[in-house]
Amino acid sequence: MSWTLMDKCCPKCWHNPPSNPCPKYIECRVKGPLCHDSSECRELRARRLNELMFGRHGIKVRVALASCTLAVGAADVYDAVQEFVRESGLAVDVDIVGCHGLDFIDPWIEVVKKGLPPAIYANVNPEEVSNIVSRYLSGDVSKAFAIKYRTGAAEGEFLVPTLNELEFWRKQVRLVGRNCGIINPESIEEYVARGGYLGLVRAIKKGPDEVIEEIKLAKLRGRGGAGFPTWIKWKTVKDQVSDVKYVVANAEEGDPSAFSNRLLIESDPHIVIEGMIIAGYVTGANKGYVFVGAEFDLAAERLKKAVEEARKYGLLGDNVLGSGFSFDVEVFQDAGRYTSGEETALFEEIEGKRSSPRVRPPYPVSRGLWGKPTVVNNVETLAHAAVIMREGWDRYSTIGTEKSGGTKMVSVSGSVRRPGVYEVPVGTSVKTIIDGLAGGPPEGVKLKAIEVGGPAGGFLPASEMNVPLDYDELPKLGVAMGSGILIAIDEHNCIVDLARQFMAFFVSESCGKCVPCRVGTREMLEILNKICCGKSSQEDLELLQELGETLKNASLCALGSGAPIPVLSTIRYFREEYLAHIIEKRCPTGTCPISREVVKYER
Amino acid sequence: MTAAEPKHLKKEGTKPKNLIQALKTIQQVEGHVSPESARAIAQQLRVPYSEVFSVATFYHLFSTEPLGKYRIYVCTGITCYIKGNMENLKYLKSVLGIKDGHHTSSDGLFTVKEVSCLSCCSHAPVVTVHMPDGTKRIVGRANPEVLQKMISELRHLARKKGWVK
Amino acid sequence: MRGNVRVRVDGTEVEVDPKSVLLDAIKKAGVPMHSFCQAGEIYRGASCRLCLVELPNGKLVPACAFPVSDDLEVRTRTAKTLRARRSTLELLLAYHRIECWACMRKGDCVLVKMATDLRLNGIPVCAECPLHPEECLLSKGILCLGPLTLAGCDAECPATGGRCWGCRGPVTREDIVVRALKRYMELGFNIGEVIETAEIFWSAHPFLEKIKFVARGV
Repeated sequence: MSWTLMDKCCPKCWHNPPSNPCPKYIECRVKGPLCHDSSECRELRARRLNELMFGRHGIKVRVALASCTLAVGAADVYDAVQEFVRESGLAVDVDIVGCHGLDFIDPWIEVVKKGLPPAIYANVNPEEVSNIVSRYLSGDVSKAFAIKYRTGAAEGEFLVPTLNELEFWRKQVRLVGRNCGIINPESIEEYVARGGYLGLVRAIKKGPDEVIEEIKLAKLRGRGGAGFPTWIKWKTVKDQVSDVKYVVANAEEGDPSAFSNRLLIESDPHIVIEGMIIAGYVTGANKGYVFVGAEFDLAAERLKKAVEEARKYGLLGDNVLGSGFSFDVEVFQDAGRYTSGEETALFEEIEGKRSSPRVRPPYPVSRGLWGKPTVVNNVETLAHAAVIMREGWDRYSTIGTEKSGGTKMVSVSGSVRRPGVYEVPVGTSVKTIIDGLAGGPPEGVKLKAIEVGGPAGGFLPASEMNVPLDYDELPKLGVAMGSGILIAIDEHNCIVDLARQFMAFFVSESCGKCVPCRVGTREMLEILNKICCGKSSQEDLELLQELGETLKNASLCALGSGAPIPVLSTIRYFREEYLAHIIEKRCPTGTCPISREVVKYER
Repeated sequence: MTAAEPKHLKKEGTKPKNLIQALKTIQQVEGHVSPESARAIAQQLRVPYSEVFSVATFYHLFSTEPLGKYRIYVCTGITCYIKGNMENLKYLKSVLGIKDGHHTSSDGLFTVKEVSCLSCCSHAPVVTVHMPDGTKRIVGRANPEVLQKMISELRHLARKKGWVK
Repeated sequence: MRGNVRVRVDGTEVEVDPKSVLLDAIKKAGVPMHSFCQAGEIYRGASCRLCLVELPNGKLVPACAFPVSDDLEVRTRTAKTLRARRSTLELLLAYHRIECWACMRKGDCVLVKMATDLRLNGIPVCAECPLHPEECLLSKGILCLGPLTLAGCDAECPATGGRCWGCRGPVTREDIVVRALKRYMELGFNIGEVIETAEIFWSAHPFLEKIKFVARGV
């Protein structure tokens, strides 16, 4: 392998982990060398940084490879690029990147050449690749989807917008997602070149108490759904007296239609690891687990690679950056169960049992994994912590709302023109995200409802779309923030049928530990089945609400108490539609079984 | 098959906490968790057989019955649901001749199952295929036409390997 | 004893060991509270949700697993707790194969105690009857309406040797009726005769039609 930024530049460079850990290691790699003065070495480092941008020969093609792009044929595009390079004999570097979150342009590639504006090409066919690249190299960017900045040197440049001129890019505030789609997720070097691990360096410089203070001032709240202030969690664990503590990064993301965590890990795994090391350093934990969802094979693979690299360069292991603190991370992949995403249930799974939630109290902060104090944070929360430590709390806290600072990655799907992951300040209205960023519904379609926060979130009618996406505002309307899911539902979909589909999901995913969730979801599904098949009476609606309340109040964990929310929120906002099914025995949209000839009714 | 167990399970040692890891290994090597394998795990990790069985049936990753060479998972997450993945599921089951209540085709080549979400909702409806070599192929924007093409391709592959005539 | 904590249960103050759970405090306060944990062998840690009590902040917590702390205040019989418990028990009973006339727990069943306490329909008189299957009036050939009649009377008549006439009205659950009628047939009773007896008290009850309908099917 050739020389990388992470290696020493000359024999004089002494701090080379793991043998010589040094607090200045990371800074030295990027701004350095700091340990000795040599213009030659400085030049070497600057040259390498430049190389990472434009490739070793001044030309680089980046192919986005993440689950989302692979789903629409990015693997073929990658092969086509490789083949083009081989056949043309050009000196071109081919690299992979993660995904921007602009999923409607998948599969996309980016071509850069020194002196030309870096251009992004959208919806690339493998057949077009050679044409695209050779045309770009000849100085014509007119076919590009967007360029990163203007140079004025390319032909047709002014026909193409820059990314910042595009509404759906400009309106985002990209903090945790700033590397997504920009760097190679399998290279620690590119992460460090973009300022990675400087947050950790700063955290170690400040010491645990000051880090907690900063997280508090930044108003960071848990991004997993509940919105619990992160600093309280960290402080509680820090104050626990125990020789062993754990940090668990929750990337289970079991909620259907959530994909922001997957995208974050696949595009920038190191930011999660950095956040975990900071959390470990602050709380005094020496071991971390990343709990990855069962379907996230690629994410797990990239994380494992990232952990290995971080270990190789002394960011994990004994004496991290010479701070005297040791930390290691293990990647644990879920075996597939919705309940595994619950913070205590995932302990059970790591311990080798069925992932049923535990009774609380005791809370994880005092008795978590293996009975030891444990910090469980969503991966996005940890990434935010890394951002706060790098950028400082003052800038971070100006973004977002009064009670909750920063941004949130939102997965938008359903009936919108531009589905994808968008990072917006907390408190941005749902309307801005759906209409402004995701482009609203396709031509000729009207939105009926927005599903907010996934299965345990709830439905908002289109008329309530002005509500800010905030931990305190959404519950007032009977829905929850959840893991930042927005699903646009148009008027061709039957709300009752969707509520039934959600309930079917809960029936199959309930862990079966407590009675209300195990039996209640089943009974609710049965009633919904009856409604969808035209065999119900008005009492059933009452019964549904009654059961829903029971589930909400009596269940053991948040998954059980969240299960009735889709039903309760739809009854609240779409009562007429239920009544049409119950009294008139018809479905206003004509999509659910009631309007089909053969009605299948199963218990 | 039982004789081969301890070799697969070398890494897992004898700690009960490795139960899920052991099951994952067996699932990967043998394609399913048979009662014999479950018993072998129970013996090696010193966990009750009932516990092994309870965990094996709890998680979606493990199957107690043999699966097909190509395992097709159809996403029924809400986005895929509204984009019509149920039609795809029906289509797959009918074209592969899998009856209601069954998952595997009679030639043992294909298994079709539902899965809650594949996290590629932007390209809904999504179907994913687990290949025999452990790799995964995600198919976005699926419709009967795309699936038809995919299945004939997989059949062709299988014929090449001599799994079917 | 050092460091006992004080807990208020429905206004009664009790001192308990700091390591105990709320249920111990409730028992000590003498507040009647049924729970499965009393049944001992089937305890599965806060999963039945039948001993939910309310904290001052309105949250429901399971008394059997919630640790006590100083100045903790709980209320056991608020509208919210009763509703949640009742509904949960209803769910539990929905999947319970009710055949109280042949059950080993006959006469001493926590489920039944809870159900009658919460006034749930769905439990037959047999559940409260102290007569064991061998001494059961039915097995002696006496037509007792216990299996079809709603519990809640402590099975006074059968306990003193008289048969049940069904004065409390029928159990309005179809599956129980089916099983009860099958039981009558097994023991050689004429279903017509059973219905005739039932008509004495239930002739005006809307559920009688349902029983007749089921009887035709059995």
